[in-house]
Amino acid sequence: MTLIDVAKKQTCRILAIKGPDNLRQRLTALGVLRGQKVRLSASTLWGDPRTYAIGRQQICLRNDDARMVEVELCND
Amino acid sequence: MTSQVFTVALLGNPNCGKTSLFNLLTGSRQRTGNMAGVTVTRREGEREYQGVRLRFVDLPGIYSLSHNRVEERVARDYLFETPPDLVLNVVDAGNLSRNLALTTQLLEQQLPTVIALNMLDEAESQGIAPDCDNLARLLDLPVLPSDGRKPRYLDLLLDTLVEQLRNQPTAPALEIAYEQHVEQSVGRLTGTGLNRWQAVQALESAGDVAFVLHDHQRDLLQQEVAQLESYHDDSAAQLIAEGRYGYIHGLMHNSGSDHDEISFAEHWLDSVVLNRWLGLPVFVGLLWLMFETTFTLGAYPADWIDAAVTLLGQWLAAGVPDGLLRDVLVDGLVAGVGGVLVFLPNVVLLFTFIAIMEQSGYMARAAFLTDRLMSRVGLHGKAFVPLVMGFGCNVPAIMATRTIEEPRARLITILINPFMSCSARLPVYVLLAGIFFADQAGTVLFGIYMLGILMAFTVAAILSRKIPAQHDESFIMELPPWRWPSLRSLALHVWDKAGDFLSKIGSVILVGSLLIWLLQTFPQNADQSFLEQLGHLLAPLFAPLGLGWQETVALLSGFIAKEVIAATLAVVYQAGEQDMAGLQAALLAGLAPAAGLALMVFTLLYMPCLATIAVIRRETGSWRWAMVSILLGLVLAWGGAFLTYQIGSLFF
Amino acid sequence: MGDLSWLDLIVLAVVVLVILTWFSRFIRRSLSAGCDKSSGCAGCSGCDTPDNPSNS
Repeated sequence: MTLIDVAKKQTCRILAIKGPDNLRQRLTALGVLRGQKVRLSASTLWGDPRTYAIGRQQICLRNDDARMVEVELCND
Repeated sequence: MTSQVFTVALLGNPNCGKTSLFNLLTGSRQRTGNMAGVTVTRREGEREYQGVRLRFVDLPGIYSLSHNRVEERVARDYLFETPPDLVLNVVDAGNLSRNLALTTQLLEQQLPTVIALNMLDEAESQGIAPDCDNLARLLDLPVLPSDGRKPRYLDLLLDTLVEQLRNQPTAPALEIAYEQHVEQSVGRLTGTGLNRWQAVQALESAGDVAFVLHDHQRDLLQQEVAQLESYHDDSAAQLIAEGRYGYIHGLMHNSGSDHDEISFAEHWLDSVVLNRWLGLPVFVGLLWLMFETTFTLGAYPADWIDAAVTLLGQWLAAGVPDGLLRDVLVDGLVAGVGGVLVFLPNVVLLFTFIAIMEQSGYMARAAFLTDRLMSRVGLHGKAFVPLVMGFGCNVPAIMATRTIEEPRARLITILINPFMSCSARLPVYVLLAGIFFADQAGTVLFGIYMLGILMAFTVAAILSRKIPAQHDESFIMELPPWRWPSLRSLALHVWDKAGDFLSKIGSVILVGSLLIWLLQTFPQNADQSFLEQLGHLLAPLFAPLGLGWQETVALLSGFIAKEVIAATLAVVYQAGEQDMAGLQAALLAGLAPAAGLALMVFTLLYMPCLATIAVIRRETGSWRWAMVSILLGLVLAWGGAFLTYQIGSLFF
Repeated sequence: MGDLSWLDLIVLAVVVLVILTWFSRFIRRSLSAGCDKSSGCAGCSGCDTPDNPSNS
């Protein structure tokens, strides 16, 4: 599954970040890395873009970009 | 004895409170004002302390030094080309690991660094405040608490800066042990004569660096980047970032402040403001409230200023002997300059609201809420900030579009910026709305601004279908945590904007009023003054909009600067009257309400002022786009005002 | 215009002079590279921006 499949109140873990280099570079610079926990925190009227809580920050991603981030559901 | 001068560069992540700290460090002695969060150019300020002159340079807020975006290049090139004597690295204590990732880049580059741990109170309330001494010991750097709002830590910080500068310490280069393949690549790159930090930065940024890379180094670098990518699924940048974070987590572990269990930072305000259904209505409601308050609250101080101006006029009329001198002072300067000066409170209020929205973190959320709308019409998410800046002045706003790298999105943002109603147009709206729609003035104000935004979006949508796009720039934005605006920064910012307004009153409006007065007064003993002749010449063009020759000349004069419109109306209508009430009565008698509304619409949409045209030409590199902007504005303004007048006449 | 006194003429001359010198300076500055207080963006943030934005 990818970030856009994350539903409210689910906690996920980042498995991999794909996509073009500048997207990866940008996410990396923001501290979005493999192994981090993610939650969906807000969504606009159109469902795009959405905001994800990643660590101590909230990051706003368009769905096209969010699709590049592979995640898995956390059990806890 | 001449005092020593040292340069201290402030560097840190966006939203870490760097600008507040800069304001605190330099007081009012800084060179340029700026909108919070959009420090694309660098600002400088000075302070004397213990006989040393400290020159502070505020660099743009960035996340990384090896990342190919405009702001990051500005900071990176500055640090490489003109290394400061000291880097004051501002670190948000509430998000330590990400902030320290930038610090590790500074240390690898062996830049002498002092860390200012900002937002400590915020971190304390979340129970995650790091221990400064511990951190200092582990990083082998001075780590000091700081607070951009209160001067409580300031002396300690300045003491340390001066002490460090006097001792000129040479920091040992930080060496992070990266993943083994990365290390091998770094090894091969340093073999060609690069430093370790240069090799790391080149890998991390895929060769986009400030220092010179020779062809053979560049070839090798490309090989290494490709090789790393083939060994791992991750890019070199990701592998290196993992190394940095690994190092930082190790530090935290050693310092006892372990951050393994990450708590998600969420705020109750977000559940309202970012609510899927409530978000946009709340945004629109806040904007309406902003304009309503701008009008109603601004009316009180405006009355006081008006009373003072009236008094001055009467005093001059009584004290100066009859003649041209009295005319020019009373009917020219006092009427014109005073006629604009009374709107200073409205302008100040509007700026205060915008600054509060920015500093509290709401603006970023508004950008998030409207992103979909903006991308639909071909605008980039980054266009939000320049568009909001346009409410202040279109000139710096158009310059701020430089952060948008995709040429088409940038061009569209430049061309639609004049429709964002700048503060120079506010006096006209407040004046007219107050006369013709006294009961709903705030709503009319809100409507005019909304019309501007709507027009901007429509034009953007059309342009984006006409001009081919080159590539899509990704839009990833961090939502800053909610924060109380710092009073000091707020006051400084608003003071700055009020100063701009006043200095324009003292220059362009003053001279504009003189010119209008001159044309209005001569030739003497004739049927029509020059101004009236000019107005009548063009009046047929404006007659379908319900406007007379007075409004025609006012709009003409607005080409110089839009504030002059209000000044001209004051001079033309106020002849013989002594105060605002007289002007209002004269306008009410001379114009139909629908024509008043049409005048507002025309003022909103018609061609940009001289300074804006010049900056459009400069930023787009051709007169063609400046001409397009002029024509577009004139056509839309005429059409819009015509419709407004014709439809409005049916109702009022 | 025989009804203007010498004082009126001085005032008129000063006004015309101020307008002419100021506007010529204003227009020249507005159209030249820099932007400053007189060209309508006092203290604006972009004034010190280097003149070559990256066009990547």
